[in-house]
Amino acid sequence: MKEVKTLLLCILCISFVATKAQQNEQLFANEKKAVRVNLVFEIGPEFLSGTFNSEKWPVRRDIGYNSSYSSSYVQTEISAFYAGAKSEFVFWDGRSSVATGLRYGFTSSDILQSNSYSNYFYLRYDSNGSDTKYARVKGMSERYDMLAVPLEFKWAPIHFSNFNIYLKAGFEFNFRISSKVEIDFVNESMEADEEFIFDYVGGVETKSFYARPYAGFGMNYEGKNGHGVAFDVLFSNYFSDNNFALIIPDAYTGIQFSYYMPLSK
Amino acid sequence: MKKHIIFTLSIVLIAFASCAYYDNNDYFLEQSVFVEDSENPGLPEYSEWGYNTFGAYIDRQAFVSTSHDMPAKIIIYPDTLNLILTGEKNGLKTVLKFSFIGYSPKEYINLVELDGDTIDLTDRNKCIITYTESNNSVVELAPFNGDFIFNRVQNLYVMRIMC
Repeated sequence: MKEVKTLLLCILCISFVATKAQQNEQLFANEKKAVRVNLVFEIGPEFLSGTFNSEKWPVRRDIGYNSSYSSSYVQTEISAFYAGAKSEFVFWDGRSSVATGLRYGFTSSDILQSNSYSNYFYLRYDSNGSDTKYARVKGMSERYDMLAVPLEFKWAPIHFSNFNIYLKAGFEFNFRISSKVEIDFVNESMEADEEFIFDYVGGVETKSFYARPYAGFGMNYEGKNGHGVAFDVLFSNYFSDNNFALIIPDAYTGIQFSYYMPLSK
Repeated sequence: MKKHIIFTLSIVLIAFASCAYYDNNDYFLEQSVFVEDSENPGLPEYSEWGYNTFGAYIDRQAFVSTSHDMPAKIIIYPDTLNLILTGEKNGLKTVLKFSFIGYSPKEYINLVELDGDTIDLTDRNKCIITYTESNNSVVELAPFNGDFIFNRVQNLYVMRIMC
């Protein structure tokens, strides 16, 4: 009798353990389906708006006497571009994701004379004691190269067929790789004074790191194999101080094209 | 006729106004740059950068330089430096002339010796002020107080060449 009880107890224990193992396997299989990882390649231009930093750069300001007098002042032209790759963790049946990765980008700013009658403006580069000195300048330019780490959250409230329309929000942490400011003088002999001018305006060094939040919306198409393409429109109007030497940015709009492939299913 | 004058002047224009007579003259540098003073509406803000402007309140009206008249001229008689300011007041051409007696720089460059000088406007042995309005009536002004201060007189260089 004792042997029968022991045998029954063993059978009961073995059954219990076997059932538990089967349950865990099913649970793990479900969890595998809940989260996918995509590898995303992205690229896009940015449209940065900003104003010339006239507080830092003493340009002789030519402003007409009255409102009908056309003003001759410097104008700014800014262009920016980036490309990168990131890992995207997709969950909630593909409706939400969190992504991070690495981007390379650059921003290029040009300061030019806006007066059609003249192709130069005056930049004051020294004022001491008995002398004030101006240089004739055709333009100034700044190139800022950076590596950025984005951190994004995406949510797709609208889904139809193979398309998702989603909202996106995130932060971008930018690390400066290099930056360079150049002055294009009317007289090339003034190039020897370029560093002196930089010192006069307090230097052209900018922050080596800045962060900016952004938000946007987009749409993606995903095939049955999990590969897909997406198009995003992004906005931001927050910038920390001293990110650029020539301009003070106030807003940016970005367009992003991306292609993604699944790393896991 | 006594007039109480509150006067601001971009003194550097004294040296700068003569820039037109040198080889390094430049049309755009000769033009005036008028940046309105937010604390004194109608007047240009104080500047030492050769903006070729001046401004003053005369009887509460702004007397300022224009874009079409030479804002300042310096004419030196044997022993008198005449600073002639030409502008507009209430839309009418107006001229204010300061005659500084005993100042007669030999060369244009010698004007920088005025840097930091203060001249008592009440002393007719040192300064005579005349005021001409559009009807060409010339009035000598006799202020009961006031000083003409040359805050800064300096040389202006463009591309290392003195104007």
